[in-house]
Amino acid sequence: MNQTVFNALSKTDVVFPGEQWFFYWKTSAAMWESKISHHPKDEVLFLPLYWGLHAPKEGAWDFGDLSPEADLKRLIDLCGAHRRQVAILLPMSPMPFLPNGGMPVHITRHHSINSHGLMKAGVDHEGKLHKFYSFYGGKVFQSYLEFVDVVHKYLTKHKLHVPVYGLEGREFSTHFNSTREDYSPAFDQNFNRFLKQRFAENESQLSDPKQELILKREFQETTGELFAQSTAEVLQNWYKSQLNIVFIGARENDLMVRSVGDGLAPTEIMLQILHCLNQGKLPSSAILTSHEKTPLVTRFLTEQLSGTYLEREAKLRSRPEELTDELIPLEFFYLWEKNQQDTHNFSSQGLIPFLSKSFRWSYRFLEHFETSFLGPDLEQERIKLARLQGLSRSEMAQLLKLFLMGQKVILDRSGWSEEQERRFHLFLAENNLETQIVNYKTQILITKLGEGRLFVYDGATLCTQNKEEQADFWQNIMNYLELKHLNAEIEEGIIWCWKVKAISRDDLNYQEVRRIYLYNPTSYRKSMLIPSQKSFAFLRQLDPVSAKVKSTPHGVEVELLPQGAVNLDFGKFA
Amino acid sequence: MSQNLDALYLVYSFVNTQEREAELSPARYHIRGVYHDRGAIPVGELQEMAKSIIHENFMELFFNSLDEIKSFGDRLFNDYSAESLYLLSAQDFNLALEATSEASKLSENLKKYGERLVNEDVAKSKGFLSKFFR
Repeated sequence: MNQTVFNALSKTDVVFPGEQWFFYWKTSAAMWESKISHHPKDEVLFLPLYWGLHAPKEGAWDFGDLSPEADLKRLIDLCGAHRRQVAILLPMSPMPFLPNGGMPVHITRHHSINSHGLMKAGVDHEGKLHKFYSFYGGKVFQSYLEFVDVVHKYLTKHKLHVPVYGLEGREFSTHFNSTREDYSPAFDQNFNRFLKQRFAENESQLSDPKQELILKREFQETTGELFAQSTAEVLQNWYKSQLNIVFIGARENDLMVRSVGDGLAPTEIMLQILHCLNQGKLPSSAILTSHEKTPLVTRFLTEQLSGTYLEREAKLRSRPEELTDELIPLEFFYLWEKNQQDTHNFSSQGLIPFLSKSFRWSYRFLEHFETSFLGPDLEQERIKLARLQGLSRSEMAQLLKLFLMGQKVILDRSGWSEEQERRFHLFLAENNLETQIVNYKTQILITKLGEGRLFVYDGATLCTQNKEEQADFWQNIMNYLELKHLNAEIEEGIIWCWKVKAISRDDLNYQEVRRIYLYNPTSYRKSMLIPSQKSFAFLRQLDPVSAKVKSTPHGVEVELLPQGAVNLDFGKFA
Repeated sequence: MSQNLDALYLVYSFVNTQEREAELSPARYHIRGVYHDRGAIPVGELQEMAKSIIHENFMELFFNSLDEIKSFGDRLFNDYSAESLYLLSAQDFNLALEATSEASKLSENLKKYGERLVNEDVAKSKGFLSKFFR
């Protein structure tokens, strides 16, 4: 069965809520085989464990003795018999798709409460409302560890060699907060203990309420690390890594919008997903209802989220070292800054507004420095932008090494330490590099080595410029780097993004193929123009729905009716 | 902006602002959101409406008293043709949520636990029209 057909079918299948997730408890165990056999063969099945199902009462565990739907061995064996690869996701925070957030009934004591005193809950893909319970409650951590231990013993006993990932739920918010975040009395109790230990000798430090808020966040983060580390220690070789999944529809406000209101609007769903990808986060549509997954949203999910993105993040599938026939997001920039809330951040420097306008969705903030910056060859094309403030010695060394390897690196030196400054000048001297100083809006130091380009600028000075001057600065840098990108004149309300792939046999004249995806979630007819541009040729339109496409000497004109969509391929010349 | 809606739901919480501002200031009511059967009223619109009721902290949607919140409710009735507005404190909201297991039933419970304000204009016009459609 091809991917599109499978996705269309799974839209109404509560067992496959999206992104290769398999909710095994949502169907009779007798139906598992039939469901598994319909899953695409080359895709991994992700099984989120339902803790409450496997822990029916205190001290009792069920892996098929009481309920056939809890028989994990049979489930994994069936997947093996049908040659489907499996990965287990072990929730480490409340899950919005599980009753009680996943927690067994016998340890649910305190409701999880948000910072405004409102109870936390999630709405799943069937419209069921699941209340969250505090992960800070008495016995919760101990019971959780017992469960992990039992899972480990079960996997060992039955020789079930499947990778296990710690699953942390996140909400779509400024800081992508964990679903574990909680301000209930249970949390307060534990937090007070934490404070007493930490400030045993100097209680006066606790008088500042602002400091208390910071400490509360710190404590929440520390607890998350404790869950992850303990899970890794117990599971040993079975444990691979932690996956932070942003559940679209799990925000505090979404509870009301999706219960009292008409659900999340298509525009909001699409923008949230693109924003997550842009921020280096993993979004999931698993809790969206079939009402929210309109045909346009389903198409968007199929084209932007389905396939292999989760497998790549879980490292179950390697990243290609060069472009293949698989479409991947077109990304020109990788951004790294230790503190995105800093006053001299990329946003204040005008970089984010500039990229949002000229390279919309074609840049990405990196979550992990080491793993992502030194990627395979394909990523050499991507410009690495980093703020040196707060970077460690080895991180700075890696960035400079990238430049020596022929990559394009742009560094903001504002707030760098004396040590960093000294090391940088030593690096220039050691490698005999000639530099050029340009004063344009701020002081820029430019160095070349073969294909490599290194720019070092002062972001703090850039922050003092107005928006137009900031945009001019970045435009000049991009001109200097000779980036080739098709600019589109697109009406407000249209959702669009780019992907890229290698050429096929029919497109031999080109270097690569770039595809723009256009979606109209509004109730109005919209038109747009992709102007003709040197180095690019229009190749074809694909899968038009309520769309008209006309190729003219000025460019490609597109008209999209409400809920319309179309994809356009362009060939890029060398 | 005028829309015909069945009901509006206003959720607020009681905030001890000392916790946030580290200074002596009175506790206040914070509007967390206003919802209806088509979604949520955008925060920008709420701020704009709050401006006519309160002169300080309207961007944060902080109100000094429940009476101010009720005045804000009247302002909502001007812009949204809803027959009722249900005011829900955090405690009311939590009770309603506690009693709900299906998302589609939450509005029923919010009505049960919330304080109802009636939009007299809409109620009268409905009463008047109902005479013709008996």
